[in-house]
Amino acid sequence: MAEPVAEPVTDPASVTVDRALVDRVALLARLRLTDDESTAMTAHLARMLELVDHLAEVDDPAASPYTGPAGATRPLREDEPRPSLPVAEALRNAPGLAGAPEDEGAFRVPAVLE
Amino acid sequence: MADESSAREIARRVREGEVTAASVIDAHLTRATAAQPRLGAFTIIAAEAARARAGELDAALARGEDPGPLAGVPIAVKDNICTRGMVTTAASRILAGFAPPYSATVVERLEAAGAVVIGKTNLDEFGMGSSTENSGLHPARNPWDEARVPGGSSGGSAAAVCVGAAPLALGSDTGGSIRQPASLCGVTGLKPTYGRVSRFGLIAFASSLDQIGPFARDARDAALALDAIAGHDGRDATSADEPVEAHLAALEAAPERLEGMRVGLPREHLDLCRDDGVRAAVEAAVATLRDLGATVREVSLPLTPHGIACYQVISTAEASSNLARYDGVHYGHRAEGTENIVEMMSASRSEGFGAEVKRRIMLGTFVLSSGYYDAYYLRAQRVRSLIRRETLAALDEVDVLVGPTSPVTAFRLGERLTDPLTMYAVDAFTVGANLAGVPAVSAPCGADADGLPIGLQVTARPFREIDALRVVDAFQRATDHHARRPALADGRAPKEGSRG
Repeated sequence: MAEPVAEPVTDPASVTVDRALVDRVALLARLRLTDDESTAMTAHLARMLELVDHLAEVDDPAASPYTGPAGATRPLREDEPRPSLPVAEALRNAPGLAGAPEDEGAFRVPAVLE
Repeated sequence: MADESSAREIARRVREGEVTAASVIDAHLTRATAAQPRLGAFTIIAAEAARARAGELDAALARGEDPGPLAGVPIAVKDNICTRGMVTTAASRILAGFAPPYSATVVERLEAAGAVVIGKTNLDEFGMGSSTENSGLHPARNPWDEARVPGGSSGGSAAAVCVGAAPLALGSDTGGSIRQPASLCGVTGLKPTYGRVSRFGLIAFASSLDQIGPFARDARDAALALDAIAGHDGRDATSADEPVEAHLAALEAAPERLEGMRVGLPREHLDLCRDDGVRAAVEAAVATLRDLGATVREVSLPLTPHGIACYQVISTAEASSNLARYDGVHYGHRAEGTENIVEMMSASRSEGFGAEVKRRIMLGTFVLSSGYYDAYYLRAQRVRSLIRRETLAALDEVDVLVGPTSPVTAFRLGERLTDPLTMYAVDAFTVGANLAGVPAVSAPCGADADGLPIGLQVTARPFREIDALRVVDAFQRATDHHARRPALADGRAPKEGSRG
């Protein structure tokens, strides 16, 4: 099954928030919106971008984008193998396992390939 | 003399054998259960598990063991914090019935200190909201007026502490989700420094902003809880390995007055606050701090009006990534009757997420998408650097910043639900601490004309929670705003004798 690919969008200055844009973003986000939801989302996204556009007024292109708080020690733990979650426990909350053999030890999903 | 119902007084009485943990837990379960139909503060009340745990503590005490500084203290835990075997949903239908295979580090630490989890509290789905109306289960209500919201997203935790269902609760704060409900419910709430408290086991919303912290009735109980949960955790790579002060002991040893404490008043926070009642209460609180010996001066945080826009871009971008994991494969809701995996994922997500969560995923996906990343996400990250710099510069001149927590008191259910931007606006004074990564406390400082609580926000330098707590503690020793209780709590409070 070929997965639909969203059209790339390139020019921020030309952004028009319309149904087509909302539908592309919904596809990327793996959300299926109803007609009503798409309409409401189009209006909402337009208003949010209007709000966010005000950041241009205070933006300093010379500033470094935030990457995390400096000034504190945040050591990584030793890279040593440790026991992980047992398979049975990892599967305990898994959907779609009704009827699967108890010792299968795998998640089940609908067809990935046609 | 500590309030009989404070966490530290409960722990003292349990440790000294004046009361049993079982009787304490029973009394609080009774109160939580009685308030639940009216307030909806809990997603579940874990009566059986709590009673079993109390029994274990009493047995340990009978053997002469000391369960710890939180012995027998009931605690309510926001339902986006994992509790092993106890259903954890983040108030989302997509996680209905999810029983985590592990507990969050904060829960393990509280239990190791003797605390007893009595239930999970209601929230805006995944922490996305400021009223708890976005809960996928049911809204929570404000104990001061049931027609009004308790704030959010940790509205259930704030309401539970407000009515005495538990002296302590845990919340999480991404843009104000501990401080704003604390303000609207008239309790004390602390958002620690980013990295002070482990996020392991917290269901992620926006990982660079999220932080777990306590709700309590006063600064000392908040300090007691912080002492139990703070400190480095190897299971959270953002957790800081910085020394942890004994906050409660420091408060108890501190002088009653605030001589030498330098308080900064960000003029933008008062200027942008249009509610006269809120402004008057904050100004009166500042006068009290001055009377207590603190020096007060005006400071400026000119980027304050841009905080919400910056926060919305960054938090939704991170949310869109964090919430990608809810796809119906490994756990959580899976849509029925789909033909292939992409359809299954899209249908599961569309059925499982509520409207606000979808709005945020959409904005976040958009700002991260090819072509828009630089114009929106990167710009917001630059502005975030400027906000952090501006906040730390103000905190170079003073020890703490003081202002209103929320520009408004508790609003009516439905009032801000139809226009999400009016909901986002109530976070105007709280998002700054998350964007800058600094600690902040909200504490009650008065009431408006309707008797609704008003919150004072006290912000401190990174890892200087103690400065904010000291200011609040001194304020609470000089005033009794924090002791004011809604009629609902009084009416439901069991007689003292029934505990012992």
